[in-house]
Amino acid sequence: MSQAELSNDAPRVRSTLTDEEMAQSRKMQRRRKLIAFAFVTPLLIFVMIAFIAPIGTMLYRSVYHPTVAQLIPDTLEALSSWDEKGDNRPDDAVLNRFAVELQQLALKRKSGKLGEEINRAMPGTSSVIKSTARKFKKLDTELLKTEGAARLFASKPHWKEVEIWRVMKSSGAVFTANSYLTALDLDRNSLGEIVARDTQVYIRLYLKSLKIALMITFLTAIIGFPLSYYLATASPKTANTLMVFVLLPFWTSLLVRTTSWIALLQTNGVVNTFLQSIHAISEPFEMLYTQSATVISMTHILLPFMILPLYSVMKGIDPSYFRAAMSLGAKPIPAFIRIYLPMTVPGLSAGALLVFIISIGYYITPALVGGTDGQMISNIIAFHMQSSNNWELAAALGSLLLALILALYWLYDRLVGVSNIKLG
Amino acid sequence: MTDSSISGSSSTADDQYVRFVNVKKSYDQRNLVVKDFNLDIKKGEFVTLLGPSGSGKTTCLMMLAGFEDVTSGSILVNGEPVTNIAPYHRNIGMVFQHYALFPHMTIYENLAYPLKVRKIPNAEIERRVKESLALVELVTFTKRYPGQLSGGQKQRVALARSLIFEPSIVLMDEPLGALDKNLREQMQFEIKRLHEDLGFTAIYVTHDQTEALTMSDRVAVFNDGIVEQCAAPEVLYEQPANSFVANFIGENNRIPGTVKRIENGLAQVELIDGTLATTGNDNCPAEGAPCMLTIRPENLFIASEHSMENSIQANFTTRLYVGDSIRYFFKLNSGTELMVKTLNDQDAPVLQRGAITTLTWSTSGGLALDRSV
Repeated sequence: MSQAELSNDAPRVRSTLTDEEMAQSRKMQRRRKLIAFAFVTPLLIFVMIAFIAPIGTMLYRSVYHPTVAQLIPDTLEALSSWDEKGDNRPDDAVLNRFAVELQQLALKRKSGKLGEEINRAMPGTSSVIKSTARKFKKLDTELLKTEGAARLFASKPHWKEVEIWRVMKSSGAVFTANSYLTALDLDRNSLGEIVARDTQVYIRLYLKSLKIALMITFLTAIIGFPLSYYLATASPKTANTLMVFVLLPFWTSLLVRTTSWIALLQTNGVVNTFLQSIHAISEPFEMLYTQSATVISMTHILLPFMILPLYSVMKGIDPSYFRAAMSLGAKPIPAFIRIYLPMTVPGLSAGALLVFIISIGYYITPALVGGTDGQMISNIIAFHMQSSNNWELAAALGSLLLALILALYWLYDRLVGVSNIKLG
Repeated sequence: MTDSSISGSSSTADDQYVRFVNVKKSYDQRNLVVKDFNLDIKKGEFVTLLGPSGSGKTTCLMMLAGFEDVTSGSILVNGEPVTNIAPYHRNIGMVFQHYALFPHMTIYENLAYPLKVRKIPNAEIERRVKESLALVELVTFTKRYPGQLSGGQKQRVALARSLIFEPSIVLMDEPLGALDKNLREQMQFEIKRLHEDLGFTAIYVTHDQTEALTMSDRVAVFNDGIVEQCAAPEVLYEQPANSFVANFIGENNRIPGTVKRIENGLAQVELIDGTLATTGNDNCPAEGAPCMLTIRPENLFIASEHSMENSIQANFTTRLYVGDSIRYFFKLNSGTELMVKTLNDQDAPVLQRGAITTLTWSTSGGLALDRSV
């Protein structure tokens, strides 16, 4: 039989799977996937409980604000038909219903809470609500049902203003973007339009945090690059010894490292004492509790995050590239810039991204050495969580920080490409 | 023992285009890696430095390229010492084992790079890159990145890049080491063709003896920092200067013995089992000295009806079927193993295991060499 005859025959061996084999192989594949999934399940559960869920709650909390709605549901229902854009305050019937509700709140000792909530949007109203509530306690409920409005006006003239009712209505919304507006230094005017606040607080803080993070990233790159290059080209013995010094900070508590910077930088600290003893300065420098203190100590703390990826990338660069460039006639510095530097970009960008993202949300070091000047956005978030009890604002600030980082990451991906990152 | 001794002023400049004069190299200021290296290379010659790894051949190449300093001695190109010239001013092309194509540049940019640093106008660059790519038959590849090329294509680009700025000397450091066998043979041919077309002086480093023999005008065999022999391939193979060279180049049967007598251009050797053998006396040790009789497997025959000048008795152990040839393995009573290579034709004998066989070789088939290795 010749070759041609053979090929005309039906194929002796099928090149595709039969249906049965296909089903079997699909089953095997499903099984493998299931087993692989089983391996990551504990981690997945942990991450869900400890990470995803809290972040979700935080995001939800930044827009969900039911306090006022729970305190005065009846009034809010009545207010819903009122046109807050007009110049007239709500009908007396609405005010009567509010008077009744306020009395009930006063009896349940919850009027203070309402005062606090309304006060946040309209400063000065807290005392109005509280004193009115105190007076209403003793009054007859039936009387309030009919004369509530008059009693309110009698108690405080503020109740005649349209503004307070507008605030009442807008605070009653369960879902609100108000925290975000505050976080972006915006506010609603009496007509409900979004306007800029007079004093810029949070935007400036975001910008400052960005600036500090960029400075730290830049400094770690400047310091880390030559060191990594030396480590990558040194003999293994020297490189290993020096690597221990790079890693040493990792084995020391963050708090200890930050505190040691306090010891170094304070007015009677090591640096000032030394400079004074050699008569370089007559008066001690104010170094601690400044923005530079934050930058200096964070640069030190985050340096390994820059060195490690840079080192591992440089280690992988064959020295013959540089030699090839020289043999082709390039002088060392142009060859370095045109040939070597581009090859280190994966390490450099990985290190920069690590340092930048870690530093923009850094909390402990700015809190300890930064003073007022060196505070970053995370310190304000912590302040709203712990001291001012404004969790909604803290959540909004945190969410915006997350959004900012994601936006920068996207930008980075567009410019450098995430696939270029090499951590080791 | 070098063939090319440093001759005086009588030779023309072209005969001594590249000169290594008493070159020594030490990395640790104590031990010499290259010990007194001397070599003259003619203009347009293809010289290979061959040797086991760590024998100093790459170091010599790097010293010529300028990437390593010379500890002592001097290297001259066209009569000028280059020891103090920076590598980027030497104008020597170099091909690296792992190509060293810049991964972040396209093929075009890679080839244009040496021209760009020489500030050649763009139009000229474009013309020369095109020419150069045509030379290695990769015209359509300009926009690709090195990562998108196969090993052989990368090596061709690397070769083109090392030639594009028209260096008079091209160094190649095991350029085919990373390629598979078929591709390697194809590339050997390619390099040879370019060398013949363009006429550059090539210095090639390899540890592959076949590569060295097939490509070179001359081969310098390195061992432990010294050149054992530098000669044309056929001289290396047929008249090795010593047993290291004989052993390193090609396969060899080695029977220890003692030189009995040297006369009339022939040496008589008493082998370890008492057999007397006669060989040519090239590079033979002095009378009475221990020696090593070396016979190439293709010069040793299984005696049938006709036998040659020398013969020895051996036990057949096994045979290896290679395809076009068959290798027969024998063992002498002294324990020395011998191998016979014959063509796989109708005359190929069939032997029983343990059969006592007479092996035979001619006077010119064996060489009595030193027993140092």
